[in-house]
Amino acid sequence: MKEESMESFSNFLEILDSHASRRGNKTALYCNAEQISYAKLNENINRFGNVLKSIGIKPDRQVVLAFPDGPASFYAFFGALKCGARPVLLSPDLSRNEYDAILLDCNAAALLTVTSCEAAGAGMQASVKKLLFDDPNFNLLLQRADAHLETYFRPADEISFIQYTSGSTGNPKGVPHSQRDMIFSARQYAGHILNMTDEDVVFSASKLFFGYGFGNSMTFPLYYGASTVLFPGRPTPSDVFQIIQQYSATLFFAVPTFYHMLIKTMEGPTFLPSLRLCVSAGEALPAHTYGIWKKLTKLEILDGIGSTEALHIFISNRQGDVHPGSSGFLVPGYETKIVDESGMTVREGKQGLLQVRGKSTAPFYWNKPSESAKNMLPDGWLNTGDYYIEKESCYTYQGRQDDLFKVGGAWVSPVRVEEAMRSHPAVFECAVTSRKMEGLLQPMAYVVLSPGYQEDPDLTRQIRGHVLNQLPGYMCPVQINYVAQIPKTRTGKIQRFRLRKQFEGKKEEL
Amino acid sequence: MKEITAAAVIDLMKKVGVEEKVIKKLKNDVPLLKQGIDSIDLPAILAAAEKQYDLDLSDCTADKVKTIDEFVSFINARIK
Repeated sequence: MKEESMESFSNFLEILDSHASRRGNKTALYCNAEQISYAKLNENINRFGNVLKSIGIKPDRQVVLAFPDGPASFYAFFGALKCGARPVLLSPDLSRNEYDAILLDCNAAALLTVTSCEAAGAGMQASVKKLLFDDPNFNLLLQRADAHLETYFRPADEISFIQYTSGSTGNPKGVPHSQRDMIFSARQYAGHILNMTDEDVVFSASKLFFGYGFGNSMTFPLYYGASTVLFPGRPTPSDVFQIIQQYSATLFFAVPTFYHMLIKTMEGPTFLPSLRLCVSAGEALPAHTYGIWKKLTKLEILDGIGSTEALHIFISNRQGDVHPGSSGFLVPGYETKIVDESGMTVREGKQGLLQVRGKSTAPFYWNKPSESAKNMLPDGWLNTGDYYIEKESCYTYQGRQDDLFKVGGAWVSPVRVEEAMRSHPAVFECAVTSRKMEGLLQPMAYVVLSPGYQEDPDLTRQIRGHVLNQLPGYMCPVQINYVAQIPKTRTGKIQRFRLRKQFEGKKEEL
Repeated sequence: MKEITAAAVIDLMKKVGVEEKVIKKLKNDVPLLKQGIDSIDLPAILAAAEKQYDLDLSDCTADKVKTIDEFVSFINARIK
């Protein structure tokens, strides 16, 4: 389907209806041995929506979804949208406490998950209805549900779904978006930058619950009537090569850390004949990682910057015009300005804070008025919190305004890692910051030991193990430096920037 | 400084807590990420190597240290 004929749609559900009637037999989703056509996808969406209605889910209520990537995520997300509820797509790997916090924050009416997920034990509040996708009773409900469902009418610019992103203290923030946002990012980025068509087969190593993965695997391919390959677990490099080959994927999406891992398993030039383009986002792609990948595969990687708040990428390199080490150029339809701390626009070539405006940006954070006021500025500008330099329309990342940093495309809040470390008896005080390792950021900790403990590789291993027991692996410090004291302000706030500078200074001496 | 051997790299792995069963099966000329070393352990091994041999791997490229043999050559080239 050509983009021109899609211009009339303002509601994403109309697009799915149109695909089901115009290209019903075309494969929408591949997942392991399953192959789901657009007609079947629409039918299952309707069944899911009808089940939600049958258990009393009303329009404007939030429905939390925690699934490994697979067809169920699609059925539940669009099923909820279709009956007027607001889906909240979460990682299947959060802790029970994290699920409880989000269920409470978004005032969820229902929780859909699978028995293997920690979410299955969450939501004990009587008001949250829980459905387990792998429960035989739920499957009976689905089979009996009507395969037709009238779409609940919602204006395209009304809040339709919520994504969660990490806050500076590690508490997740809800980012609401409309269906217009989905359509806008699909047209502007997937259309103008990737030239996506219905002939594409998409595979994203980044998961659906990330804003990046959501666009890659769900919004974009479904908008253009393309096919998506879904992988429920965490793919290894060999899984990725196998999937690209098996499904003849044409577009591959990953974060820089993943390209790095792929390179580390490649023993020489690797021919991936089906791929026409690779995409990277989530953190800055080092120029040398781009160069090595290009040399080994002959494929370009289009690096870009996006955010959960903007739904997807708004600055990107272009095919045939890649500037390694930079985020590239504005995606059509978005505007940016680079400002100093007082909000004044800085001169070209000067570092400043990047602000973005476009029709896919979230209007506020869910239930967080003060954080909304800080980042969602008047006239639709969004403060990204990223320092950038713009020169001849090309944008290059310089760092963060706050202490957050990204590892493998996911935010790391130092506060959260410090909390986990502090519960180890040997840790009297600690501070977490980031350092570069092979061009990519990794967490690094500074520890003041409790009396009676001494610096020792065994102790380092124990503290790392202690963190790994509580937090996802990407948050675990790769290095622990033992120090006599942690630099702080007069009010006792940790000065992580001083630790970063101190570390960089030492590196320069080597 | 004396040149290192594969045993020194194995020692670094033990220091950061790579499991003994993974270490036992390691082949020196096969990428570590294909042999059970994961993306959490590998940067920790690199950080331990930095400390032990006074190196800076901040901007080292991804293709330099993939196998134990490459690790040994990389370190030896820098400690001479």
